[in-house]
Amino acid sequence: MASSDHSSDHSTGSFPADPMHQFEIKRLLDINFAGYDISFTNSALFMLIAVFLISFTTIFSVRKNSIIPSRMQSIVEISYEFVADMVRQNVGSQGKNYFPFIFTIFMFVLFMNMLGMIPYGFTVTSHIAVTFALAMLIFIGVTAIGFVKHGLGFFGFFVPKGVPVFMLPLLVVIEVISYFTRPISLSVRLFANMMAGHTMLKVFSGFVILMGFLGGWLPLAVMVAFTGLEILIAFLQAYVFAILTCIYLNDALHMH
Amino acid sequence: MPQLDFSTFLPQIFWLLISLSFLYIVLSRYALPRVSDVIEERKDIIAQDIDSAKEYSAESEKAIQELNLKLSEAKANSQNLINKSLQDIKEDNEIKKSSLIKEINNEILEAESKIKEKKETALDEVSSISETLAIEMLKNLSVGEIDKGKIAALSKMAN
Repeated sequence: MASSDHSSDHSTGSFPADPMHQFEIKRLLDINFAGYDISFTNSALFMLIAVFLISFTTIFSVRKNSIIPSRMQSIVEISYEFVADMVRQNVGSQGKNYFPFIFTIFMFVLFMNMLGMIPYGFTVTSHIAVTFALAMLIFIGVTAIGFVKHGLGFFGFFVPKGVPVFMLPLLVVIEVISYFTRPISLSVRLFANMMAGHTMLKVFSGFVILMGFLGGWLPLAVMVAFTGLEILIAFLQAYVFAILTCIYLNDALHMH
Repeated sequence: MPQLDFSTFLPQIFWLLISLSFLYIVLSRYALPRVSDVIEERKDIIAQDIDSAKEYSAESEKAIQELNLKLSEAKANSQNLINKSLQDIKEDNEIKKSSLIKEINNEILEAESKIKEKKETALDEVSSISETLAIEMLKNLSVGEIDKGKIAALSKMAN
């Protein structure tokens, strides 16, 4: 994207706001543990905010003995049923044990995407480091589940059934490659969506300032519409991330 | 591009793992079991309510049927009573009518016999009056001795 050129220092003067500036990681508290840099950054702050918000709403808005739930409780229950349905449809009854994990992943990604939509917020999921770590965690976990369930038979997952023998070497290679690109596609999809959306919003907001009071209304209108779309994308990407996790889990449990 | 600044990778991943595992523990240990309890409880309560509502409606249906049965019984009873009393009244009327007719007939017969008697006495009187009248008239004509036997025979003939 052309906007990435603006990240260099000398161009920030010509454009009102550097669209990539919002993704800057700021160290709020320098922490060094045994030679490793584990500084508390704005990214970590927003992760903790997300964790706090999710824990707080899911624990304190749910009252027992309530036939008619409050609004917050309704939201929590709807998210619960939503993820439970997703797991049931994509993984089946065996997926019940992994429901808390899928729910955690979905809520975490959703809240981090949504927190990025708040002005001055930071989008944790717009960093490939975070999304790739998340995807690798899922990939390793799911692969481990596959080997625990099926032992060495899990290698059979890479051998398609009902295929002529002379085709097998080629197809096995393709299957293996497609399996190992899963964490890459999973993480890049989320990261690229979040980064592109936020960069676009920033670019249009720069146009509003550049075009001034007379011409700035058009990019402002585009921005408003785009903000709505971005909120949809924030939800959609969390959903896609969670449902792909379900599908990978289903593959590991049932091997197609 | 700040995303490619490798020096920020380690702190990001470290805090990601910390917050994600903390969130997982909180959700799986405390939050989600509670939510599922609440949802299950509500489903149970609603199912119970629906069951009891069905029971009540079945009961009311039964009560309505009983009521209808009683109503039709009462209708049949009252119809019977009406028919019976109508029959009674008819019979009573018949009896009274026939006794009245008998009485009237008796009275008519009595009256007829009385009329007959009166007629006879009146006729007798008429004949005796005419006899005396004839005697008086004959006396006035001074025809001498009057044979009462002949006059009686004459009045009898005139009758």
